[in-house]
Amino acid sequence: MSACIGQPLSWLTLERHVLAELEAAAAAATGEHLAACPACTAALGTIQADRRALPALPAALPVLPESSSGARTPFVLSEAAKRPRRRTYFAWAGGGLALAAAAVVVLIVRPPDRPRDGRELTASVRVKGAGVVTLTLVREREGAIAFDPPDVRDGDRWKVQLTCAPGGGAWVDVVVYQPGEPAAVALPAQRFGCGNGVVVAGAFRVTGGAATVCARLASDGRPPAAPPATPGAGMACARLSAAP
Amino acid sequence: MEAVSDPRDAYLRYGPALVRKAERLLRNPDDAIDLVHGLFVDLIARPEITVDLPYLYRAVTNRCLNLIRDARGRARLLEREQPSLAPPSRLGDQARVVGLDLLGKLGARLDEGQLEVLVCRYLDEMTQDEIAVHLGVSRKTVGKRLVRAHEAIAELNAEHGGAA
Repeated sequence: MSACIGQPLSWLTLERHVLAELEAAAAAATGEHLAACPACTAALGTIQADRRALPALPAALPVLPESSSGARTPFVLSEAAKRPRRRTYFAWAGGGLALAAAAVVVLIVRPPDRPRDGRELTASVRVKGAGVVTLTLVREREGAIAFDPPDVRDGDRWKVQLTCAPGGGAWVDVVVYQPGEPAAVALPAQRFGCGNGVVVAGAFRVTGGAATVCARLASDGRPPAAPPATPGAGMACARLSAAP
Repeated sequence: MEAVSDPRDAYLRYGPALVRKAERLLRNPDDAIDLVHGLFVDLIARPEITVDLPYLYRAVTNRCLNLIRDARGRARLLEREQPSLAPPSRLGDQARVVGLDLLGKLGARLDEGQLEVLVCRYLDEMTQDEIAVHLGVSRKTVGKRLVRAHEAIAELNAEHGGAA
């Protein structure tokens, strides 16, 4: 891009020109300048050629925790992390007093983040209206960005990206499952349009170790407010182990 | 002058322009999108505000500068910086390279008003008259702030042997 023939039209003026928001006199002057100035015409071209899609705004205003100073903190924290943790579930099995005396303890083999129907969790799911939607987790740890990392540590910041064929769209919220904890909605329901690596609005932290993060997708409106106790149909999920 | 009272309508109308603006400062599309998105999420909570593009331009400038002035935020931005996103200047002989690193260093020497004028002049490529209208200050004030910004850049150049 070369230098302007005089005083460049500011980017703000160019943007307002594209939006047809300039007043008549300013619009006329801008048109005259553009007719004579290749540099400003090229700048205008970059605006007109930019067709990027922006992430949807939250369908409902997320409830953000208040910091001690009263300012809203920028992250949605896992409510689960604030409660005392139970490490395992136990069930007693036995056919009578004799067996009870033997105190057979059976660890429940299905952890709470495992689907009840025995399916394996996958990062892709087919959804009506959007086709195959693939989840990508983005982790920021001490300034370093990692895509689909294997583990989680307190203090990591997380974002979710979705990829599906352009033209489609659906509703999504993000649910975090942790052993021994109820499911927690980390990002509120929002509508998104398909594309490559579409960012789900908002960021969150997961504390308390291993977790399964699921994008819950729905085609006919926002997902029910209460997430299911375990990941199920219509969810694209990724497991995170606790970082050493 | 158009003004939009519904933040969602404003997001659809002005969001792309604001992301382009944020990208010129932050040199990273993801951070630019995050910043603009965050601005509108906050606006949803304040439905009483009617916004237009100049107002939102200022809001984006201030949010970007806050991020750049924060040492940790700046370090993260510098790691992800995509120099190709630096806009080619149309200012000719008056052009100055005002990048992330320089803005960060100037953050310790200039006040918010001076930094804002610097951004308006060299990244948004406004004239001094346009800056005065945009910021609601006199042309003389714009000139003074620019002089101070130029002095600070010269000081940095002297300290760093022209590397600033």
